[in-house]
Amino acid sequence: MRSNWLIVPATLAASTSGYATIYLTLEQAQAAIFPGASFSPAPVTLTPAQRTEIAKTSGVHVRNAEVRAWRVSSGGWFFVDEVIGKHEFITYALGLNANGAVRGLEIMDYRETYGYEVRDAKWRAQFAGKTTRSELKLDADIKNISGATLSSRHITDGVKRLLATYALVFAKS
Amino acid sequence: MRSFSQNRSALASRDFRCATTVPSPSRISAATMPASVELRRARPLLGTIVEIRATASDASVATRAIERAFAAIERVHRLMSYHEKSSDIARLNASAAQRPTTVHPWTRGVLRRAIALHRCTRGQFDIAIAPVLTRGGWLPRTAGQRAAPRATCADIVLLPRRRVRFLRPLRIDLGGIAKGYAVDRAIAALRSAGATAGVVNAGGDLRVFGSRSEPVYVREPASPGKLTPLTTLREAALATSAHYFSTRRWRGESCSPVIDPKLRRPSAARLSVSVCARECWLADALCKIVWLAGPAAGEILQAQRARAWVFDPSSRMNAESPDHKTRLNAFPSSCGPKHDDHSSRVRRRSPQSASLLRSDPPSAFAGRMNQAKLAADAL
Repeated sequence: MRSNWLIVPATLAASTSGYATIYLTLEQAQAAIFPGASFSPAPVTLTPAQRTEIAKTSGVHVRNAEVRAWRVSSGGWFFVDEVIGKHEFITYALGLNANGAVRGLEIMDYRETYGYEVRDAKWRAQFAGKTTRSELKLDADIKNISGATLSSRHITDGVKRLLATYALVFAKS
Repeated sequence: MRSFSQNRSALASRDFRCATTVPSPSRISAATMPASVELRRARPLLGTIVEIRATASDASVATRAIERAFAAIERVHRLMSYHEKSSDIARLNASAAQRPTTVHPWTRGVLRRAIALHRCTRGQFDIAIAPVLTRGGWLPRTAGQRAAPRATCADIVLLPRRRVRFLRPLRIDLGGIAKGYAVDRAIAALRSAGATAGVVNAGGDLRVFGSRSEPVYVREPASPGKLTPLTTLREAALATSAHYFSTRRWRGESCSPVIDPKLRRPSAARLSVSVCARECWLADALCKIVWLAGPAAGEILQAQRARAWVFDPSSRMNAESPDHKTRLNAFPSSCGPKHDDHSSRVRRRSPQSASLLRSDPPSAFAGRMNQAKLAADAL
């Protein structure tokens, strides 16, 4: 069989250096996790002491003091959070029931880039607490990528951080 | 074997829900065609990000189909995770060497496939490599019994009534096959819930069903941010194993969690291997076999109607196995190692290729590629 393999010089034509996928808008994510409910914004700015406390209980660094939260008419809380990996930026929505149990999680958008700007702290900082996706000019047409696995650990850490934030700040309110 | 090494933190057992509609282009196209919608969702599962797309006659059907497909993946995770103590795999590793242990039919199905592949590759594919993954840091250390030194997949016995027995202490990990199997289960769930077409992509192991062709991109192994078009898929699966994102130091070398079962060590090769097959569990497992065997895997690829691409940044050469695509579509989807005809087919293989499959160390890959090139030039 060996001779049947076609060997060709590596002339991979690089098509892009990043891409982005938008799965759900804010309204769509809210309706997906809490169908039929209405949402009232309840944003919170964490104090330095709260950030320290949340980092201690969750074991996850609290990069952003702004918590984007909504109180749900049917009971429970809705959060939108961003996590930053080495190359990926993920916005996701987390819904908690009134008792604090996870009701649903949906990835809202996924962006990936490998440019020099990723290592630039200022460039990364612009994502803190933002919903806008327009800063990035990435290729959104690529739908199917086969490759080694990117870990979902950052999302898992983000959920741990949000659950600790809920317990400290929202559970009693 | 690619492992579930991030699974300990995966959100497998949560109650995830979703809904929403995106009109597909087909809605605009033909008035005679029934209207259809495509939905696209992503959730963190199996230690990676799983994306599911479904096309159906209306949004509620597509939503329910996607929900069921995610539920199937969560179920595979719960049954086959190495990390979760209540999973079938954790229970087998803990007790199957002492007494027969009952498993879910899905777990038994994956074990049966893994045993068949172990047999027909003469041990090149082996799920009993968890101790090596632990030593390399891809899997956590677990308390409990140690695996017997030369224990292999051949020490697993499938008994009647879904019971499984290990003849010697073993530690198995399904990281090289279960992610693909989860994709297959999700596709089956989409189909039975009434979706007319769909794509399931679990961190790069993907499968397409329905009448449309899907273009698929791969990451360049030397710079994984760059994406290159590889092929188009229709009623087929594609999996990729590559060194980027997962290397760890092993005795001073940077290695991937693709374990050579013969040498009991991870591969130091820096490769990207993609395999297209009719089902995703097969594509997933064949990636590891092609990674280790190189062009010598041609025989099993042909027997399984599969096709492989190997990108080797160090030799600046890419290799592409013969195209069995035309036959791939005609091949009944129920065929595979679960039927005994498969093993008999492989047993008819020439002794020469059998020895090639058996003895190739991973470091010789580039050399073999060059040999293969010479052979190709000579034709």
